[in-house]
Amino acid sequence: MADTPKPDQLYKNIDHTMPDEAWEEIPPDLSQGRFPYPTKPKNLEYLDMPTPTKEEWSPADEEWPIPDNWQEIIHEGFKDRLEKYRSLKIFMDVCVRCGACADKCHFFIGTGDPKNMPVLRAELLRSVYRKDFTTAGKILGKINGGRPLTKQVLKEWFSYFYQCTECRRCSVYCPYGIDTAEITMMGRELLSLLGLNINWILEPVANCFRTGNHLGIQPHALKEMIEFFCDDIEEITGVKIDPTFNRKGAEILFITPSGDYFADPGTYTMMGYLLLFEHLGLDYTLSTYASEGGNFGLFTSSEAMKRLNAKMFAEAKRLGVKWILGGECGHMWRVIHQYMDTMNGPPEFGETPKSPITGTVFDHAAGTKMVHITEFTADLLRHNKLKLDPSRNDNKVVTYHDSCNPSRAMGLFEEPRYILKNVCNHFYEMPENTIREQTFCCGSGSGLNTEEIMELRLLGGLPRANAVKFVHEKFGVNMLSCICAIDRAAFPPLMDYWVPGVDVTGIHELVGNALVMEGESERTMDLRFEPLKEETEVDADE
Amino acid sequence: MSKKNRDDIISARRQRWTEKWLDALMQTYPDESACFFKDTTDPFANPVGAAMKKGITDLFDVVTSEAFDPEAAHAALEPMIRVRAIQEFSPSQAVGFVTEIKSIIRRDAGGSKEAHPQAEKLQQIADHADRALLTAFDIYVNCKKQVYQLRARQARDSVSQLLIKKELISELPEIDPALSE
Repeated sequence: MADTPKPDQLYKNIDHTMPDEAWEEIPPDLSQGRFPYPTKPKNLEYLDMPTPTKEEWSPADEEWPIPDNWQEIIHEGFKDRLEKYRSLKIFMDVCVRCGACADKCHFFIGTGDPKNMPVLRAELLRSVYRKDFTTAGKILGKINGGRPLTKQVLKEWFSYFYQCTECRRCSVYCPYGIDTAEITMMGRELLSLLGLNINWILEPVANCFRTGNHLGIQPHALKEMIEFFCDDIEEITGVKIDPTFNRKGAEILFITPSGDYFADPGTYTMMGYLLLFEHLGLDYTLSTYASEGGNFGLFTSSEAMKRLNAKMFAEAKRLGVKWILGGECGHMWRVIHQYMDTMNGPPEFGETPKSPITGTVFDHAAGTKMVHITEFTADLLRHNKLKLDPSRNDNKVVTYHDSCNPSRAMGLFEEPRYILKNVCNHFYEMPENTIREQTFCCGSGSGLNTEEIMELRLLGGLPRANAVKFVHEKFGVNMLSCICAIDRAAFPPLMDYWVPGVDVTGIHELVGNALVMEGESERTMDLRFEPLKEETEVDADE
Repeated sequence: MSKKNRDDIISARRQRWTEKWLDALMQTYPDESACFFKDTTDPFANPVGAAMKKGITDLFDVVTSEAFDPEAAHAALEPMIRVRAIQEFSPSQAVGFVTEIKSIIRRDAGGSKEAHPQAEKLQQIADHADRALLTAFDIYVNCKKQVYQLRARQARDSVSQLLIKKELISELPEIDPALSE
């Protein structure tokens, strides 16, 4: 919050003139570059979602292709959800507009657009709720903060519900615990009823539904890509790894976001997982069907999320594994930790996860039978089961970004740090109010990591980048670590723009570098084929 | 009037002029946002405000110096323009605040008798502000260019790695230097 102003400042600031326009009157900016592209109709059709037009259209168009009875559709959809979700009803009623959330959103902090204050973003929905669903609002209308659902309001929803990354930083500060991410989720669901979705979300959803992962990588291609990584690993370490696919009877099924297969630097993290499992001799398998940890259904609707999530349990049951180990992904863990059990549980396979190496039983994961890989690895380290040479990461001065969902949605703060402190020698924290539960979003989460809104993403990521810049200048940090595939994709351009000289990594890439493998050749390169010995400023100072 | 006296007046008014300059800059934002940018002092909670406050202070030193220092101007302007280049402004709005110092000083000096003999110095500040505006324009264009490059790179990288890995395209191999000798 802003500092409390002094009395004379308050007097000075009293202005009796009314603002030129009320916030309700200011139309959203839907010029090119200020919105993500709408989805292609084929994706909507494939998912059996409302498809109002087969023509290409743009949010910049004056008229949008929506059905004539669009107001009725939204009204009924809103009504259904208010009845279905008690939380939504409470969130609509309970806000006292205290403003605690107002300056906590990275998009507001970066853009300075008041409608990016979480309270006002929620008000976009709340004002319609008041008008349509409360007695006072029906009678008093605008006086009670209600407003009719017009086409401009609809455009505002599209603009601002796609300027929220559902990171839930604002919720941390709300005295009532209003989860503004859920308000955005409801806003997007309602827009979906009219076919108003964005392509960067719907295409992955459709691909995932058909092929099993966001990019539509087919089974044979996925297998070849993993084998390609194994070739690289052999070249770097001299160790030949031969992972199995869709193997029935394996003890553990490993599921990670597809970003780890196809997008650098996530691919190096994938190589780290493979090295770790080989190091342990783990009885695991990969699936070419449940080949996606991420779930862009979360950014679409509860139905889409449930449909995509179901494949994890289905595949675990089909293969007969005991439990599922999950990779470094962000929103994947919000879905697993907060929704999976009620959506698709209880799972009809396996047992409460137990580490075959240490014997630790992960009781907290009894419901979903899914364990986060940093929990698994931290447990290995605690029991001294890994042979490590952290000096191989000495050319990396590392800081850690708490990826929003694992930190705020599942409270995963210590495990990644514990691993980092074991696998590298130079680790520095960013300032306190930018880490752990107060972490700042990368600015590209919840399906907004698309290039057409690059400016918006860079502004949304500014508070995070600003904290990285601080440790970069103070401690010489040159590596930003995180446990989210979207982070790994979003941070490289963010760093290029705000903090050149800082690279991005997953935690298990650093683990992979440090692991001393049985029968390995002398390591001269890290998993990126870059030389291990490169003197840093820190070394020079020491 | 001696140089010392001139500098005394500038340093005496430094705070007032930089505050007004910052106000002029903040007026380009909606009221609620301007309050936040101005009043929240933690640089990690408010990186935009922190960049603007420091930038204006540094820029004031640049325009009131005897000689215009292009490097110092660049250093003062860069953090501010880097933000404003991607905020919702037209190019002229993004950089326009730079010359606001001219009218601020002119208005202030106009009402003060002791300031009149400063005409020469005031003109120098105005000239420096004009040059700073050109520097700001350069930075603005570079930032925009960088954003377009980042966009293009994302679009390109999202497919190229896959194509290479699937061997649908073949990159030229590295040529062994020994062979080319």
